[in-house]
Amino acid sequence: MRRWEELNKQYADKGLRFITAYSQFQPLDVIEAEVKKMKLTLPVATDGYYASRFFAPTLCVIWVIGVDGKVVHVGQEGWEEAALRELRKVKYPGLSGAFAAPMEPAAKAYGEGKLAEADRLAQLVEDGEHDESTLKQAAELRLKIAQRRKLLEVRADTAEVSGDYDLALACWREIGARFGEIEYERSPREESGRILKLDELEPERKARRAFINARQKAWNGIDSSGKDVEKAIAAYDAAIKLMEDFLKEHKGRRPEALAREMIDAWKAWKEELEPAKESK
Amino acid sequence: MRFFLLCLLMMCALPLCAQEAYKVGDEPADIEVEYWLNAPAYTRFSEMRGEVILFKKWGCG
Repeated sequence: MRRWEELNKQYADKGLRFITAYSQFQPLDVIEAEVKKMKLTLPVATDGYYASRFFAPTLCVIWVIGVDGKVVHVGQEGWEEAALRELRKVKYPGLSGAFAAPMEPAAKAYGEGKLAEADRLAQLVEDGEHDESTLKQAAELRLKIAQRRKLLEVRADTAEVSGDYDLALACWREIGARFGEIEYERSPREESGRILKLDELEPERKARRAFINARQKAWNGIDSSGKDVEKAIAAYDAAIKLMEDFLKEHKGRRPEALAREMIDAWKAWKEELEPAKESK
Repeated sequence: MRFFLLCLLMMCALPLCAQEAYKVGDEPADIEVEYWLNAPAYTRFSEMRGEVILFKKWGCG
């Protein structure tokens, strides 16, 4: 991971992105301790991307996804060369295709993450005397920038409503870094400040963390119970107990409904196993 | 819907190789991650089109 951090510092603004997924059912404390020990600043998905086709029979496995969104390399070796080779195709990160000369400054600003500046430069092109295809490029880039901002705002609002304040704050930070403060738009500084002052920020953060922790522990138990019916039933009982304890401690917090659904699911799966236990 | 996702998670987590893993040429689908450490603002592959993504599955033993 140290190499990943080095590459992130070197290439993040040149179009290289990093995502990691912790792929073992372990309590959050263990994952957080490991992330801290490694001084990892890159995103870590704690659910291991299990609901995806990123299967890794042995850890670690790296996928390199190219500029067209398709996998260009998979494996434990050769990923850096593959990524840097692919990166050579990137002229302006996040943009594809060629740009007319008047649009080059706007495309360059976009690639550097200066989206407000890119918008301003594209507007200058739009307002100038240019051929139809250049004007079309300017309009398309401005639309893309507007959609980018809208996406982040919607994500921030959705995350806030669902109690994922850290994601909401990450979105506002990104808006602030890419767009800055724009008079007629929502202020990322004010939005972040408002969220940080919410009374429910810390209780919801704690509840969310406790829910994920309980779920990780539960899955860990279920996963390691193997095919033995009695062990599996005991693991479901333990999982149900973990969630019930969570509900007692964090009643009324946002993950409550999800915790109840998990309890119902585990109860149903346990009931399915009961006849097999009785027939033993 | 959530129950369906739970079932899907279970199905993927236990018999891991029921489907084929992503290989060269495949286009990974976007998925929702419920809990991030160092949460990124952009969370979907489709939002990072035009850039190169390094994706790593790891653990600590």
